[in-house]
Amino acid sequence: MLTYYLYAAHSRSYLPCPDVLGHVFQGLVRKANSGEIELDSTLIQAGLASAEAVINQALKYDPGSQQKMAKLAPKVLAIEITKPEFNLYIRFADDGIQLMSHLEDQPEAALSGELSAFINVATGKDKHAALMQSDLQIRGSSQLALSLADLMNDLSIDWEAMIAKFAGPVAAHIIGKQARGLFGWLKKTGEKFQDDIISYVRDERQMAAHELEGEDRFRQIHQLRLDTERLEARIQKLAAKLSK
Amino acid sequence: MSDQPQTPNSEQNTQANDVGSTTHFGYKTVNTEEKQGKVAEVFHSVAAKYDVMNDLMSFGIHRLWKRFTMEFTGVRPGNKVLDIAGGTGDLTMKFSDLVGPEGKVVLADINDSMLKVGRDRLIDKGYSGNIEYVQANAEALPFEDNSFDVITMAFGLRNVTDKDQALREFNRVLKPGGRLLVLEFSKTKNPLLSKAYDLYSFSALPIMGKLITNDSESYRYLAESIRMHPDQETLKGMFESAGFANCEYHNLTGGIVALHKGIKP
Repeated sequence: MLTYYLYAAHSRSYLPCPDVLGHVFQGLVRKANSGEIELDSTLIQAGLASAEAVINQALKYDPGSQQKMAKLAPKVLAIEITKPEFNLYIRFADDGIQLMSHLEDQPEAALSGELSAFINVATGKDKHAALMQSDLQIRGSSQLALSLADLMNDLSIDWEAMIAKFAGPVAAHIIGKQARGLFGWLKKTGEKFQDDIISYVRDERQMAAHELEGEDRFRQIHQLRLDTERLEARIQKLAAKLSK
Repeated sequence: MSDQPQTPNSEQNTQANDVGSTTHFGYKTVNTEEKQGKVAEVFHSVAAKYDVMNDLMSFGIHRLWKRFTMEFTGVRPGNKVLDIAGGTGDLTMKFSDLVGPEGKVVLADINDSMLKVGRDRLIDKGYSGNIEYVQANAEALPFEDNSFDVITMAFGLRNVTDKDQALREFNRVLKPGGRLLVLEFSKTKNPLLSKAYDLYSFSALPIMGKLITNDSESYRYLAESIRMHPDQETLKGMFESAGFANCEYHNLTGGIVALHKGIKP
């Protein structure tokens, strides 16, 4: 039976996932990669246009980031997602970014890897460090990719100013204060919930291995792989000698 | 000359165009010399409300088609671009930003009403400097050989009387290695979508035209001219016959629109 283990990045515990979800997900990825599911380019453009509009509108409320981004113009960074297969191109412009699904020329830099690796970098606290430690491969100008990571680290959008445009400064301040309180509570609650779940699964139900046990097991597997490769190389050497 | 409406025949639709004494104007058969004048009348009539109607008829999707087209141009700062049948300047605006002050964009259209609307619109939006406005016929371009890095034509080719001649002209004025991109209505193979599209084109469009511009006939011509335009493979063959290499096309919205691309060797 196939069992998919979800790796909880924060706690580094190992949780078993129901088989049916794993099969469904694997099926969808297989269909997307084989071309059975094909998104019309119009739909892709709609998604990109919406995302671009949202990002550029938000950037207007962080002039510092917008200026840093303008310095990167007119370079292009390619995001090559290998699973599921999808390419996205980000062109830096004076007033924001352009998102594209196709590029005729070569980009100045390309980041390639699985979607999960990109999500880990995007959600990491220090995106620069997360990028360096990730499984993503960088081609071309690594400086461009790292500049983007630094930019995302320093992003500071004045959400209150954005709300004030529609609701006025007083209402924006009240809404902003309430929102900050709510997000803070949600964050604390989420972290506590995660810790409680991990503790329950690992310590009380003993359904998952501890971080140290998992690392030890992976170390053993890695050592076994190295030993197997050495053995294979020796056998090939002997076979070559015998055949002479 | 016959003014009788002509039912489109799928065999006729695969022909490039009827060059000779007569040609098609929508479903009507007219003298070749008259088509240009009739098309001119249509666009003189629709010019003032062209952008509003585009948004209404396509529910704004034409912007996504044009956005897709821009991805295939490969335009860089300093390039020289020709936006033929550019009308009200949607693509010209984008090119102007991309080519920068050292590049140039030529907005060309055979119809002076459309050109005036385009020029006024671009100037009102603050675009100037690197844009030139030229009234030109795609079948006889007033430019020297090997002048442009990129040529685009969005929703204009189906109105041209001699499409092969226009494609040869594009090839002439492109630099070697230059790209031609033609965005145009095409043929969908999905029978359900085709039926819905026909119903929408021949029922809703003329009514919209009547309500917004008080001109239903121009929008009936629009629907008919789409049906008379070559399909994807035929147009690709025309590109190749005109001397373009690496010809390809990309279907959009189920094949209702297609972007054709060719490179001058």
